[in-house]
Amino acid sequence: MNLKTSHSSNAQDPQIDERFQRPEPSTPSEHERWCYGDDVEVSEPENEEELIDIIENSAGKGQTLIPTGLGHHAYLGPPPEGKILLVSTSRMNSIVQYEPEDFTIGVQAGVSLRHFIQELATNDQELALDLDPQRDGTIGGLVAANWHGPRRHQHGLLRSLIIGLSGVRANGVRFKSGGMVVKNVAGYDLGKLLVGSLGTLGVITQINFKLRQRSEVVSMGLGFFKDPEDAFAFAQEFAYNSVEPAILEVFNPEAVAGFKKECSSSHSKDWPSEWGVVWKLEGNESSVETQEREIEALKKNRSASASGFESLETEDLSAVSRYLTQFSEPDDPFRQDLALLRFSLPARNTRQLCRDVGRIQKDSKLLSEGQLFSPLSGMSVIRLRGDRPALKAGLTSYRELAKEASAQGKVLFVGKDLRREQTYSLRADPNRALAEKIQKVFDPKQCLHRSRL
Amino acid sequence: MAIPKSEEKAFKERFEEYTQTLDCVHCGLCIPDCPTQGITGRESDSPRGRIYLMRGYAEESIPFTPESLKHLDQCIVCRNCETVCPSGIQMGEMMETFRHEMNRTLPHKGWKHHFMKLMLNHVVPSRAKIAFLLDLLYYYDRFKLRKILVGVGSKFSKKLKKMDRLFPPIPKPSERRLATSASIPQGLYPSTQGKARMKVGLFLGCITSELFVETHRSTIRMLNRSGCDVYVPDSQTCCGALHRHGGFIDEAHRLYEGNVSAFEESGVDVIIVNAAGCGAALKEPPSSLPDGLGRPVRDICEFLEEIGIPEPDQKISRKVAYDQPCHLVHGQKVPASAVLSLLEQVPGLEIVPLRNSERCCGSGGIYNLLHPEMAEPILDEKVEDILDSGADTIVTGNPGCWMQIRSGLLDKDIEVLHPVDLLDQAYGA
Amino acid sequence: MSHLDSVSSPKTPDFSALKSWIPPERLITDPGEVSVYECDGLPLHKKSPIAVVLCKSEEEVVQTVKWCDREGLPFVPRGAGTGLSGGATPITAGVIIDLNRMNRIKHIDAENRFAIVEPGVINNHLSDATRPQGLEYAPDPSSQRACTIGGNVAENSGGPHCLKYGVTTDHVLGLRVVLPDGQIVQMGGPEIDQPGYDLTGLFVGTEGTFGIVTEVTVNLIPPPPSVRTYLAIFDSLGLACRMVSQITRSGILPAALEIMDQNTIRAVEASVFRAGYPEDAAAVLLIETHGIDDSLADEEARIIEFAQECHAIEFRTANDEKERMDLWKGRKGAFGAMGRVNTDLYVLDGVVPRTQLESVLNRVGEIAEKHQVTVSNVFHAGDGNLHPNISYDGRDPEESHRVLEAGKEILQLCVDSGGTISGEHGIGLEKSEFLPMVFSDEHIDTMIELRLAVDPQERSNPQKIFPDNRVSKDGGRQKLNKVPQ
Repeated sequence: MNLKTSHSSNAQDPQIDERFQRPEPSTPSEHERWCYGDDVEVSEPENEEELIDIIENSAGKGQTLIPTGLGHHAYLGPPPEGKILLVSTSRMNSIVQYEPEDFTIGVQAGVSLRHFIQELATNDQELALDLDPQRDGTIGGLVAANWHGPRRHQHGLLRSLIIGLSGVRANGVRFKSGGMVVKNVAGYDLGKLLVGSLGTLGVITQINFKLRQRSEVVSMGLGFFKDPEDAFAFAQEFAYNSVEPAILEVFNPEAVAGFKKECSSSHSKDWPSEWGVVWKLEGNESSVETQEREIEALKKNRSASASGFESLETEDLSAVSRYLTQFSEPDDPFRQDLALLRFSLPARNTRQLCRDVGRIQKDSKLLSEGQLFSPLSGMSVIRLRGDRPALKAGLTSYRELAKEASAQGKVLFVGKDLRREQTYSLRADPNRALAEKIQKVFDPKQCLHRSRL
Repeated sequence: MAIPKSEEKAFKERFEEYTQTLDCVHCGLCIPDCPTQGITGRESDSPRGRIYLMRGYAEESIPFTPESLKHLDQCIVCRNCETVCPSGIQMGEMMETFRHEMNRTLPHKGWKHHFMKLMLNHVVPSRAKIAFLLDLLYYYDRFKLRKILVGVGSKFSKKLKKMDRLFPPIPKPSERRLATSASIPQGLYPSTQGKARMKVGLFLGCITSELFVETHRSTIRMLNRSGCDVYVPDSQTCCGALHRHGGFIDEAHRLYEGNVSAFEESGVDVIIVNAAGCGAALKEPPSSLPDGLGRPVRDICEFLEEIGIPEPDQKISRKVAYDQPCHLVHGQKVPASAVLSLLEQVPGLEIVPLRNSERCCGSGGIYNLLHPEMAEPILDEKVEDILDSGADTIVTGNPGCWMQIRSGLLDKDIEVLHPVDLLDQAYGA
Repeated sequence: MSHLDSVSSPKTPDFSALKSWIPPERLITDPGEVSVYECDGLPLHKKSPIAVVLCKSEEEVVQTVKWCDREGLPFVPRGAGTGLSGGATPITAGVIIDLNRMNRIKHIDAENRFAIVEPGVINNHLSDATRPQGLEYAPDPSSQRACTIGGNVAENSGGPHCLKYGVTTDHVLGLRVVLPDGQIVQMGGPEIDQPGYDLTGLFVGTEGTFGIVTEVTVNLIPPPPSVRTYLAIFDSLGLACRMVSQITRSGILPAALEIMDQNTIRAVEASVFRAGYPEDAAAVLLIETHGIDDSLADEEARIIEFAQECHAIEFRTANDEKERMDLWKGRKGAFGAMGRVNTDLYVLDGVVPRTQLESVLNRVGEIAEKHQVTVSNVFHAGDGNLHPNISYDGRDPEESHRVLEAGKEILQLCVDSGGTISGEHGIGLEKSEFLPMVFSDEHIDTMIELRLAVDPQERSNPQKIFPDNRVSKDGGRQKLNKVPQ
């Protein structure tokens, strides 16, 4: 039994990647130019009034407005054509109101991830989302991209954590929903509309969240299985007892290589490259202890089919957590040989999805850089590597698979070359007409990059 | 149609229960438990809607239309809403008073109303007249007239067939007469457990006194076994429940007074009633008679549970479910446990739960005759619940319910009994 | 150009087309009978509809909506009519489309933990149906015995246990909606990662202004492994609030935290719902925790500590299910019990940050005294959702006026304390005039434009949520027309 009181997330100093830095104020970063081309202007207003001025002034200039934080997720979706104005919230980066005793916080959209995490950590609090302090980026960007990680099953998505949101439409008119209280039905829930909208509705300027206490105790474990069916069988058992894992994922052998890369312990070198299950428990001491006892019983049941079980020590725990969190992001967004796909379907069907993915991979020239399947949340992410024709063919096969399996999902990343022809969602939006009506309300003059979504 | 101008002000003043409608906070928690709303889905067929109409009429803020009045007529007065209402509205009292006012005020009235008035005011209060009527029906039954008439008539009217299903075979006249205290030695059915520990009176009812005489006999036997002398006053009369439900409150009061006299000199400690509808009426005396019948009134099962029954010596191998009569559970507030705890003492009996046992079966006194289009679908739901329970026997302590439920199970192998009939079978001697 | 002119004219609609779709027993046009539909759970505002259509299928809803469009009539969706903000009140006359006959539970997928239901399914009945398969539907508004899922979706209803489990929008995965032009839209579904915008999330809480929901896909959750219920009794309302703040601060997330003040306790104890609360207590705090038993034991120790620190005069623990039901009995009967105090009851619904509870409630008391009204407080203390209820005689216009003034001041107080004007009952008719307390003109314009994009003719539940005649930046272009009554 290994109980860890962790939160050593600040152990490593975040490294600054120059390619994401704007060399001078109002100049695009290398990544932004990579994604959007060279005809890119950047505006960095300091407050909402300036923001509105910029928006109003750009009307009629034939520019596509792209609301941006620091451009970390600029790779999402097909890029726009022509002249571009990046309207960046990077200088609107103050913490507006933090009420630790009420577990709420309101921040401007340009607040950086690191700043956000640090501020909350001073009160031992966090946002119930997987956030990696090593990555930079803005809160506004997180929201616009609807970021979520493996803890989504237990804690929900951003839509459940946002209690208020405000911003400016593309016609310069403000919008707002919610406030600073955890229960609110006054007016329409525009926050829900804006989450994941990828800048197609306007500029988000402030977001309010409800927070949680960081868990006293965190514990993680791994189980290795030669046969993926056994891995799934083991994972499925977690659903039928009182264990409430914060994370539960089935991983493929390539993911183990990823774990090993992150982990520095000698112990981790011995991990077999097999299928497996990773789980994370969080809570107070007694709840984690109780759950661990139940898991021991599960392990005993499955010991015949398992190659082995591991309990993670503090450093490995952080490393594996980090890997799982970063799994849905490209390690290097300048890569051309990488594709990241996320599937979502009813939890029970995840096993079959895994088999289907295996089937496609067999015939494909693509290499797997890791696959994660969550039998509880029904979300799965696969990382693929290959050359351009292989990626194209692979993406087509996977889109077909999504259709056949009645799954939804996203193309979380493709290289720049392929970006133009790949839609962000795996499947078409059946409510396009209604979505367009709504989009027109926010962007009557059509200056935003609507086709991104 | 409208309330005659001359009557308008008086109507409002006379609608005594108006202030009670003000207890309703319009929350709607009563709606899922109302059987009529469950059938039609209309707000006007729900307790909240009916109270709203009554208040609206009284305040003159709602137009008084025959269509809206129809929904007030359709209230079964099962009083299930009283049990679930957080504000404690008295729907029974409200509906009775309202109907009373309607009877007095409106110039209407269809053949149904006149027929009902005739039966209730001139036939039902007299046990002699009922006996005579049933004698006629007996011969009608015996000489196959019934079979022929219904057989032919049902080709023209489905309604006739359905109404006929309600009535059980009529027993022979000689079997039907229960000897009252006027015609038996010492006027008592004596206790069979040595010296009596108390003297109780038995209320006979109107139809029950003739059609369900066996249940009376079982009741007397159970009371005797539990150490009670039973006195059956001869001059007792109808309880007036049907009159109240129909809005003939003056007649109902007159009948109540008649029963007060009948039991006055009886010397009994408790009055036992085995019909839930009658029990509810007797337990709720008119305001002019605050002492009621002068002594406690108890439902037979309620009473037997209180005083205790001797240990049964006969095994009964049945699977039984208990359907709660509305006027026992909602009207008299006697919980199911009173009956179930008696049944549990019978060896061999398997008691199975009945879904929605507290929900009306659609009988409602004579409601099923007046509003078959509502009573039938309600019965269908009750039958479905019964079939799902797996019981082969249903017990229910009200003759109307007995007739209604039985009529829905005629082609099934399920017997319907009064709980006291079943208990009686558990004793050999 | 909207067709609202035709609504204000007394032209009688042509029902013959509608009658070919709807049988007579489900079409109500009698002037006496339609009166019972003139309000919902908020009797303050009344208006009889022209007709009520009880729809049994989506097709009937579509035909009725299209008919309304052709006849130029507004329509109002209605479930059980238990809402408290006038959401189902046909304030511009028009047609009520009643969904209570669409009450089938179409599909329960226990393995994937979702269900597909029609909007007329009663909230409680859903959990009753899923419980045998080890699952429940979490949102539990106090009216759950009678309210419908469709109504819950329209108002984004909460309930005592939403503190831990979330409100309706957190449990709605997908919707089928009939838009005001009769088009059917299917949004969302059991797969979380839907393409396009979160239309489902947008539609929940739109109070019937975006069309009519005809099918809901809901999330189901397993019941907690263990439940513990406590009642802490205080001789000061402030101390009860302080204990709530303490619990919140500590990071413990109970499943429910409910407070009742002395006026409420007295009303409850005088009613059929008497629950054995001491009548001289100033406040009781009902606490319920859900989770793994060992963890609950730890939390219990800390909760008892807090109770001591806040000088609770008594602390009761439920030792079995029966005792648990007993502790809840009073809370569940509170609303009805207050109905007995006087002829009418004005139920307020405001939210404040948890840390402000004590000071806000003191101020509420002052406001009550100022306007000489009696306020009884029962509320979801855990999320700061207050329900200060005012009992009064609605037949007295002077008293009614004081009650409304007090209500307005209390809502302003909530907003000034950092809160908002509705936590779960919705804006509806009741609070549309107060919307400017929390939103600027621009904010309201954005929402109105959105509403008009989906409902250009203003057919779907008009005059709800937004106050009339908001003028946009474009100067008068976007106006919601006020229909003369």
